[in-house]
Amino acid sequence: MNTQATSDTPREIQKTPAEALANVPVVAPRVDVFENADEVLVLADVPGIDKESLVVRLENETLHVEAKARVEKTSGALYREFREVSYERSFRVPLGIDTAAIDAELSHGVVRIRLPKTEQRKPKQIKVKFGSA
Amino acid sequence: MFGDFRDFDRTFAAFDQLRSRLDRAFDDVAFETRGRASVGDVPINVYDRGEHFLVLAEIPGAKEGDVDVTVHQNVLTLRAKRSTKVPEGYSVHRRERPTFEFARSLTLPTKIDAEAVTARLEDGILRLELTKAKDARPRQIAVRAS
Repeated sequence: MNTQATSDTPREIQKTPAEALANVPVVAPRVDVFENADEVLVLADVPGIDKESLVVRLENETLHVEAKARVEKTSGALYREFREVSYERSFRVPLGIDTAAIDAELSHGVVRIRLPKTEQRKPKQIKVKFGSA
Repeated sequence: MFGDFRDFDRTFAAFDQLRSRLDRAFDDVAFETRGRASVGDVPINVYDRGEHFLVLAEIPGAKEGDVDVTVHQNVLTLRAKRSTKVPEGYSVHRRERPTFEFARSLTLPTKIDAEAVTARLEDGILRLELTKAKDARPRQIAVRAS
């Protein structure tokens, strides 16, 4: 299956002018991609995202996941190991996915995207008939 | 004799300068590699907000029982774990999200009032507010004109 990421390092290229000005780095979230007979399952780590900013979009057989992580604006930083980022990642959706039935759910900073397979693509057991040929 | 000391100081100043240059050089690199490198890493931010310290840590996928916070005097210890199992009956195409068990101790600049620590886990971010011990809090001194 070609659930490979189409753009592993989107970074600078896809920045909107506003983001370029704000100097918010674009990073690819870490993902797991699993598959069973019924669906393809994508899990992506997006800690601290603004719920309104999460976009899961299907365009030209490509699934785009985008979100913005907010970090509390506060002064007096002693250590700073993470900051605001934009998450972006795209996946080529394989043939045989029921695109109308794709759903996404966010919990504990992880997005879970389910891509159900169409009926024709699900494995089928073929009944073997025993004749006396 | 004083001259010797000055040279000594200058040597350290040179080290400081080198370190701040390296910090600057690596700052952006560190952020850009995030999301692919350093398996099991939990990045932490610490802020001094006067009355209390604010600690933020990114732990996506961790639930309440997965995080443990202890405070002793001015040392904060964070423990967290999360596991990313392959769900039953699924085959794997890509696996980048690490399973980790993480422990880290931070020494804060002042003692903490262990009774007044609040911890909240929201959207994969752990948020801790650690109230400083009474004698470590900033105090406003009234200035009187004589």
